[in-house]
Amino acid sequence: MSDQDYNQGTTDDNSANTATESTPSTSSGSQSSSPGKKESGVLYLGIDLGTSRTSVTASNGVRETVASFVGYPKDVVAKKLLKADVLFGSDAIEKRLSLNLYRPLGEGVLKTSLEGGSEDGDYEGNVRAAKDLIAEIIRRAQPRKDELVYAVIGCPAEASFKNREAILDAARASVDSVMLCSEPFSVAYGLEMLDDVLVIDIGAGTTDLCRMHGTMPEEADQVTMTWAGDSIDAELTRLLQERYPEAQFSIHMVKSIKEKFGAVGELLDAAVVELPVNGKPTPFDITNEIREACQIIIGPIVEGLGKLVGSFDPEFQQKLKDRVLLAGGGSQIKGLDKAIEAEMHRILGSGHVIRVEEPMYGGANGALKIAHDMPAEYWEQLK
Amino acid sequence: MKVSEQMSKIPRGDDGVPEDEVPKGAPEDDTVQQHARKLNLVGSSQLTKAVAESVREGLRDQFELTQAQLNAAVRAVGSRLMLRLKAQSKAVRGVPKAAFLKEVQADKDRIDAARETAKRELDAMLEKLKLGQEQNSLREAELVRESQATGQVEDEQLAGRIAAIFASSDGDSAKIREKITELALGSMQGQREKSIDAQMAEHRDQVDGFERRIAKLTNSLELTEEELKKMAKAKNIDLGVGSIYRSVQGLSGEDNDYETKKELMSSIFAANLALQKGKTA
Repeated sequence: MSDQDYNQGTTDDNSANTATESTPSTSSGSQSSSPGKKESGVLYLGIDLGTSRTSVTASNGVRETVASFVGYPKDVVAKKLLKADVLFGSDAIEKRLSLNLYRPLGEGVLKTSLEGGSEDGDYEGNVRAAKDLIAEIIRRAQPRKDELVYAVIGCPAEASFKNREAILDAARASVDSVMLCSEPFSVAYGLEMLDDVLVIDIGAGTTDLCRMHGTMPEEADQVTMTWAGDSIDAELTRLLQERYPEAQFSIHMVKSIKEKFGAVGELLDAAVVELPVNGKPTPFDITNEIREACQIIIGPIVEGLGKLVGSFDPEFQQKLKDRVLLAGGGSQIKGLDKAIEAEMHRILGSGHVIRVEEPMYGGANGALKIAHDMPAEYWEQLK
Repeated sequence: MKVSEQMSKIPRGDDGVPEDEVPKGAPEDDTVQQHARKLNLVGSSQLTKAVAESVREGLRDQFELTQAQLNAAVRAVGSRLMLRLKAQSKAVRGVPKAAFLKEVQADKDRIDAARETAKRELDAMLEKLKLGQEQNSLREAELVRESQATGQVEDEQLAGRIAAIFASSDGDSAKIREKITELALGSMQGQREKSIDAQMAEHRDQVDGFERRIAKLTNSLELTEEELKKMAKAKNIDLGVGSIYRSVQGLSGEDNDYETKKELMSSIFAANLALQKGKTA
């Protein structure tokens, strides 16, 4: 079985169930199952814990994505109506009026609540939401109770110690052993692009830039910026309010519009959307607004790339510019690769951008590959 | 002949019970005692002796037999008679007394238990009945009070109207009769409508009660179905999907960039170990 085989499964594809045993590794020297009651199998999980979406890829063929929203019923009436103690993802967004809604990973790190909780002092609420979100995504990976579960979680490159600690705590409750790694690194590792490559991972809360040069990226090799998906949403909201003040919309509607029509460059398809005006659905052509909003991240990204290239060995700078990997949910904006490439030519003299094939699962796939390659003794020591 | 005539010809005891239907095991019953007095009690030895004598006389009258032959014939008949009697009595004697008494006791216990249950149910029903009667009495008294109060007012109103009719009729008896008849019919119609309204209100209350009960049961059913769904869902989750790996993997020496990857794994581990130690420190 190739390294990529287990990355190709889907939730509906249960072919992994009938897969034969993989050939044991010969290098780690510790092939035996860990002592304890769970000895019938090892399930590896690669998790991309994002601001907007959280994805998991598992060695049982399951792949799942859930919007990173967690909602708790506001009162007993809401709880009875919703028939649940906690809702996740699109369910939570849909029922948000009855919920204390949390998006626990604002800007890629644990933050305060959005709605319902106190704005400045609900760190505990966000920690709880993050724990529940991680538990939910692991549950959706459908682990068997009799298997060892080892997880690697991709988190923002510049997540604080306290945040990493909280993420670890959250995961430990649901898995046997867990490790963290930076998101852009896991994307590059999953594609086996370990040397002379620049990774752009555009999430909702942050855009992570990472310079890979055959060793573990250090602080100087990484740049994290808040020019990301949420910035585009905010800019699009501002433009729509400014130019179409009669139109009514919410931030969730703006996000959906961006995901459907998001594009940059001159070859845009017309983006005509229906927005209510005093309750009546009214068509608006917002092609220009979408282009303007999506373009705002290009300048900062290329500026960040310039810093990473400029601080690198001059002999290898050209190689870096020739291998720029565009990943993350934001990479789905049409024409973004070409637009960044054009800006790199303008600012840095040259550049070649490659878009990853699976932007939604690039980070999770890489984390899964890291989990697979991690020697057994390391997992044991971190239990 | 009619059935009643047939019944009248059946011989009956002093209490009118047909003699054939009188239970024979009831010692206190006079009729049974009368029948018992007609019975002759015969022991087995007496019976054997009587049979033997009868056989002997019969054989002597019919055949010319010696005394020895007669004795032999009588012995043979006697022994066969005893054997037959014993054989026929086995079915009755086959049930041991202790077992029989045990069965009787078990039946008695069952009957006692059933009686207790019935008694409790009866007590509960009587309690309910008593409660209902008390409520009905209270309601009745209340209705009577209301009726009396209302009736008094209505009577006064009716008397007032009749007086008014007399006062305004100038002694024209035909006119008075017509107006009073009209008044009486109107009053009766009013009473009938009130009675119908009261019945309708009672029916509405009953219907409301049934509707509330149905709503509760429907809600309960929905909750049960929801729980069943959750259980079914949870069952599926518990099964999970098995991993393709039976053991921990790790890097293979045949992997591309093995040395680089090994270093990277080591670095990731070291960073996580430091994180964990920092947490525990």
